[in-house]
Amino acid sequence: MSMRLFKKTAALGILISILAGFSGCWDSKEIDTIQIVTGVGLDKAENDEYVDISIQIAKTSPSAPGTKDSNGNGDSKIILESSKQTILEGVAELNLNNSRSPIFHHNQVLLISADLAKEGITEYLDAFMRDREARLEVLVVIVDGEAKEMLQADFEQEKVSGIFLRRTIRLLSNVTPEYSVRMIDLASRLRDESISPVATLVRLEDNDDKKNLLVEGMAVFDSEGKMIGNIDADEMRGYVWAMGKVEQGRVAVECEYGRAAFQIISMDCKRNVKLNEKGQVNVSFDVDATLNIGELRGFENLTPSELISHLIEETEGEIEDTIKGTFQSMQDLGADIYGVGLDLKRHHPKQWDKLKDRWEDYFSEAELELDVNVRIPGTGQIKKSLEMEDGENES
Amino acid sequence: MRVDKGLITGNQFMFSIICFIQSSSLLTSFLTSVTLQDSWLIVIFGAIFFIPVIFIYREIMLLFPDKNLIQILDEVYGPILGKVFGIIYIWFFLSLTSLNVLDLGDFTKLTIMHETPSVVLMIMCVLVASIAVRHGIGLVTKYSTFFSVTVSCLLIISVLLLLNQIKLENFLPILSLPFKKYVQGTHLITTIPFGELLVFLMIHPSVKLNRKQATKYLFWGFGLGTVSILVVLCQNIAVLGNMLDMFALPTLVTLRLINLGEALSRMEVLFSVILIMLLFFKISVLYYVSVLAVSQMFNTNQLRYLSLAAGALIVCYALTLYPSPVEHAESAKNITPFVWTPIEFLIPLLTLILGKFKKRKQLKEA
Amino acid sequence: MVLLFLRFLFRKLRFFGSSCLSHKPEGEYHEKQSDECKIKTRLQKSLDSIKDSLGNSCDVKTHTFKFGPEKRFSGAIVFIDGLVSSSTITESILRPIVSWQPIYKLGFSEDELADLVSGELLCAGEVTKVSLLSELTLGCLSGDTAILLDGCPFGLVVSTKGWEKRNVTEPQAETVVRGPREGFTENLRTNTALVRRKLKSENLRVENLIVGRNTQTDICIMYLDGIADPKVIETVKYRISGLDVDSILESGYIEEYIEDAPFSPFATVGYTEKPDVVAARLLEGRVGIVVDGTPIVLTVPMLFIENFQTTEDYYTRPLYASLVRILRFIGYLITVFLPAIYIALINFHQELIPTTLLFTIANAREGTPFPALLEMMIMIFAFEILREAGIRLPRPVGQAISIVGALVMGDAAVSAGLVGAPILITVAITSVAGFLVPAQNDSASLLRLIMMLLASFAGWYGVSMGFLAVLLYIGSLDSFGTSYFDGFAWSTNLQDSIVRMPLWSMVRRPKDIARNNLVRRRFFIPPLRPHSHDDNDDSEREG
Repeated sequence: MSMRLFKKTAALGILISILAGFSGCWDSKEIDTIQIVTGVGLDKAENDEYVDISIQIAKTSPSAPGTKDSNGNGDSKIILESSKQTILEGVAELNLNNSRSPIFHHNQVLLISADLAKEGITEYLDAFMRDREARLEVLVVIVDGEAKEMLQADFEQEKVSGIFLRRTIRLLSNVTPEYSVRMIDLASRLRDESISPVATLVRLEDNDDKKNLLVEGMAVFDSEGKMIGNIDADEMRGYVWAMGKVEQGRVAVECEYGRAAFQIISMDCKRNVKLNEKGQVNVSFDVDATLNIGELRGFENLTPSELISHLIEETEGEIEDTIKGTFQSMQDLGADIYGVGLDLKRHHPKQWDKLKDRWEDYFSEAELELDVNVRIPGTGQIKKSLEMEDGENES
Repeated sequence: MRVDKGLITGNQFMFSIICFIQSSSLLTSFLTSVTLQDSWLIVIFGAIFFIPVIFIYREIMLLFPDKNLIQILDEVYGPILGKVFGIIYIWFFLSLTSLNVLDLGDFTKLTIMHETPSVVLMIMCVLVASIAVRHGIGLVTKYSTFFSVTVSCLLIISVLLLLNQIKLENFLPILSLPFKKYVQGTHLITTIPFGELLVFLMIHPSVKLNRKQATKYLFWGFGLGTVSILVVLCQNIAVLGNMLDMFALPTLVTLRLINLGEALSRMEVLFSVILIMLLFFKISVLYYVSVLAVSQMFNTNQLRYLSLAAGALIVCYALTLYPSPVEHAESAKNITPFVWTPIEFLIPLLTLILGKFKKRKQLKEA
Repeated sequence: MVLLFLRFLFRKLRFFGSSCLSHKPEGEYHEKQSDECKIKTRLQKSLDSIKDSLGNSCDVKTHTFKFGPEKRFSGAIVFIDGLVSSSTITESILRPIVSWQPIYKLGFSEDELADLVSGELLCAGEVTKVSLLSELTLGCLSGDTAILLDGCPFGLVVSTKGWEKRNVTEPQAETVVRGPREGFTENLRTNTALVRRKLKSENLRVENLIVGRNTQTDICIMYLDGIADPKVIETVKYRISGLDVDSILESGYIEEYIEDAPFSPFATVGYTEKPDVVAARLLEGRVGIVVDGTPIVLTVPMLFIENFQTTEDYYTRPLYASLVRILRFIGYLITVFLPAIYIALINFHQELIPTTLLFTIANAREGTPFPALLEMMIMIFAFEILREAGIRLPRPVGQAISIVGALVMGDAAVSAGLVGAPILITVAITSVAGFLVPAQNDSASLLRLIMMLLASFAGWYGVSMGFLAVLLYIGSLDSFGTSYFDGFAWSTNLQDSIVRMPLWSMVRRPKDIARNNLVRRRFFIPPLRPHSHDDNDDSEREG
């Protein structure tokens, strides 16, 4: 055999043998062999070692015209449950007796029941961050009640409650990004030793057979991941206003002249943390708010110019009270959810080193200086309310 | 005797350098695990420290305009020592190629193809790269402009899409890490991403450059590449904050987090596009340089036939380099910089000094 | 055993490959320079030889006549009916010869009769004096009239071509909205004339070659002397004149015989049907090959970018033209990669699809029997059938059937649950996008198939590797000395690649094609402004 021919045959032989090794597409998953998971819930199990895992799967139905149209007929979701020591084992058990394999790429929310959260969530988050199918934008939500029930609930707006939850919370994030707590935000806060993680707290309300979702506020954790308290919806505003970058929301005041409600156009907060001479932490928040008058009730004896200055005073007081109130409750809990310690670490790292071991105590004794400035540039479509008297023509 | 007589233009040379350095911007986890939020400072320090080394390379290029590195070593050190150094450099090029092939296989497996054995991914890549290598330097560097411009555009787009998640406070505190880390970081960055520019000493005979042009292309290439790394690194630090060292591929994580109104989400396809393009380019250049070095050393002309054999060798080598990515990262942090330093800095410096000496002696004799 | 079989296979392939084109024919049509080929001085003998060689076909006409003083001389004309215009024969040949009444004494030999007739008598513009019978017959077969003179060893061939030919109409395949609508016809001389009308330059050279044993096709090579690369001209002439084939029916034959990469799906020889395209390409330094009998003119060398350039780009405004060109690129990418990307996303990377879209697709695929790859292939196959059938069907039936076929096939398939709607839409977009770059339809189909297979094997990574492999393959092709694809390198060629820069900014010709004469215009930003009486009034003139 000539050399060229030998080379050619050798090449052919090698290529054929390589092809034999390529038989099979390892990663290929046909769409009708997968189940799309839209929500995962973790509950406390009776056995202390175990954890209850429930998975909500959105069922796909044939949508070709002519076949049975199943929009709204019957269940559009499947709930799978298992109870095991680790999450991986739990999911593996769910894989076992199933005709399709669940994929977690499109998981919308991770629900953790409050009971379980009180014992610590750090250990459960590891599986959800390490798994290659997990995404870091999963919303972490704490459920006051059972996560399983929340997954099973049927809401009217969306067929699948996981999607409903995510959309609700994402809508809230239009107010401020602080409302929607993603896995990465939670993990980032858990990693840092000073700041306390928070997560959205929801509750399921049962009105006969209609279920309602209530966003109750936020759950507060300590630096080890145990839930130590919560803040309700009003206190939540105090937290969010102090964090700044608020673009929606409302402020309501009540004074001797009447009631007023305002829309927040923007609210920014500049923070400054330093140690004063006594070694105490001195936190100063500088809030700059721009409000629009939304609704006025009363205020009969005021002219427009008096009105504005009066309102400014009242709202400044209101905002101060709210922020101070939340700050105080957090100080009572010993949970630094504002990131005061992080600021100190960033701007004064040397001083932080001295304080970091007992940060909770330092935080509880911190002094708050609040300076609120409100501007009311707009009064809505009308310049004065129906009940007000005519003053000079100015707005 | 030059093995490959192809010619490339100065522009292609410059863009090849940019592509080369840009490809390291995706795989910076070894750097960020050392110097967390000050990594961008490390890049700047590293660039400053590397400028003298570029001068060394440029001088070598101008001193021997028609000889590639193996021939230079032969001429400067004499036949025996030159061959020894040549073999060291051949090992260096082959290792670099295998490391990058391993990177490509591992990271592709980690991000998009989970179940496929990485050997399949590596073989596919090396097979396609061998098409380029068989046709010489012209084809290998042909798409450098296209790749680097596309990647730059994609990087700018990703920065723009992440604007709402960038928190500038994540850069603080600055300069608060122990001094040892800065030294280690600078050492890391000058050897691993920047030092690999040494391979262009094998390619420069294909480019006809005078002093001014060589300076221009080298420095522009290096500068723009460094700017790319800087941009990506700053974006990662700003978005991820203190989670930076938890991930093997921080850039992938930031791209995954892009979420502009829920419509523009799940953009990690951008990452895989950039990764595959750039790493492929780097692998084909390194592959070409290895094959060229081997054929130069053994005085053959058969670039085309050696390429497939070298490809098989590279894949096998890549599979046996490290048992797991953890060891890979550890070695990249601790061992590899010290092994690369003499190869990338000391020997070229020595070569330059001896080379200038010899040229002066030759001029005197003539 | 396997090795023996393979060796047998290789031998057969080698034999097959070498048995075409490189064998000399066994002397069938070799020209024998013996006396038999020369024109006989006896008129009847010549006529008989001609009738023999042409086989007594009924459309070969001969006519003998006597002319001259006292009707001393006799001659004959031979022509093939249908190829000649009889009025020309009558007016240009017969009438002047037959009515020749010389009034002076004639003292010339019979050898000079041919010169006398051609120089003083004939009223035709194109007369050739020949001495071989084969030239006479070739002339007759080309539509000329052969004149034989008794006693003269030379004959005359007069051009009297006058067959039925098509008018210059708008070409079907290359329609434009703005721009000239002339297209080439099947007549060689008309085609060269159409190009000449665009390029009234003295440097336009037209050189003739004849190829093909049985067809004896005339081929003209046109180029602009001084701009075109002499090496390319030499290569073209060498490659064409060295052909030893039996027929050249269409320029596609020439294309296949001279191209650089015969096995490649990409054409390395460009073609067009419009004279202004040929003129523009000649101006850039290319060489045009006009083949008699077809309106398609070849141009070499060809670059990959030319597939995406149409003449309309240069006649419309640059901004819009750039957008449309980008659209064409995107269209080509879509038509090659969209099915593959779809398969890759559906089968491998469900995480990259937004959630609601994933639900829609999952719902649509629920209950369909085939795996995604098979479904995609079936639908693409169906679309290819429709497309091909639409071309071949006679015009009145074609429209209706293709519409009905598309609608019925698509809709019924979805209703029956055979395929899902998303796949149908994908295939529809793919097919329509394929028509943005119609010249590349064949290569796109092939590549599309390969990409689909790669995608079903290795998902996104496979598609990426396929993309890189195709890029490298295109980059490695050569077309007559220039590289086929410059890879969007940073050079002035970029002015005319993805975007079309304004005409006044494209001052240089492409460097790889016109190596010598690079400058084509002087740069200025329009409009020209009247000069204010300075010393240098160069800017008044366009360079």
